Amino acid sequence: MKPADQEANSLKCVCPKCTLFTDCNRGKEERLFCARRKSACPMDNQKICICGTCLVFRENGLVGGYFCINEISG
Amino acid sequence: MKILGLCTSQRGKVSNTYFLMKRAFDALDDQNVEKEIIVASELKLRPCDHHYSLSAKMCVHPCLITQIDPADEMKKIYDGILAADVVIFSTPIYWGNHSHLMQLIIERLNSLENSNSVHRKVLVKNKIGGLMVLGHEDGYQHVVGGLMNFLTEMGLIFPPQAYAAWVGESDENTEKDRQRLESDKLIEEMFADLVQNCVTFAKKILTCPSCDGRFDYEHLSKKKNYVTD
Repeated sequence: MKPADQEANSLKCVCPKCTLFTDCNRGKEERLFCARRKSACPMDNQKICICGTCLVFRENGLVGGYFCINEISG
Repeated sequence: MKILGLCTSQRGKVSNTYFLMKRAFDALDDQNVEKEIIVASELKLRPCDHHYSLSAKMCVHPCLITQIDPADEMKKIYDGILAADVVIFSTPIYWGNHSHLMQLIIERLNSLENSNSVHRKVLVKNKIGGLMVLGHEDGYQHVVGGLMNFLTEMGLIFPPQAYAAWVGESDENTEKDRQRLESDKLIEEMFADLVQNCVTFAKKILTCPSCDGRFDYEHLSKKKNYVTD
């Protein structure tokens, strides 16, 4: 299940620190992909995802990663 | 019943490793057994990204790479293992260890093994394992030991003497190996026997008369590293 799309989670979000995160993401003010939707930007799937280090990931019992590419359904 | 062979020599179908596996599979004369050999070097296999090191919950089946990289073909190996009753891996020995393709596959298979830790769900069960190992002068027992360590943890059941192995002379003359492998009847029988033994064992152990035709079990490991919800 998706985490809540709220300010508290946005502040904990590590997406902007991720190697996949680009100026395109920054320009579109994207982050917190696990709570929202996948990115509208081209994402480099060869880079290493860091979702598992995020408090939002841990607190919400998420499994998997690359939520910027692989949107959580529901 | 289905038997899957996974050849992990970088030289693919021209390798001695493949030659021994193919000949042994061909020797299995059982119309009730479907046979398939996957040649790992013919697949595009992306190395493991080791997301497990960040969080065990990032390493479950289907593997993250399988989910996000359409060029990666590891799914053929995952699906092959999950659909098989007997899985036999073959590897050459290089400097005392299994091949780099074998290691890549082991690391990617961690996602199958780790489903037990994260979801308490054993994905690889009711499957018999076997190993084929060959080299020119290095120690095969070391290689077998290392592989069995992971593959039993993943869930494969190994029958007694679950491997066939051959190593050549202690010299640098590898050119004579193929001729020896082709002509030595004992080597041929050893590898054919392994395949037959694994299939026979699978038929015996996977058919349990007292449990409605299917041997079943749950993994009861008390490992402390189970990931809590």
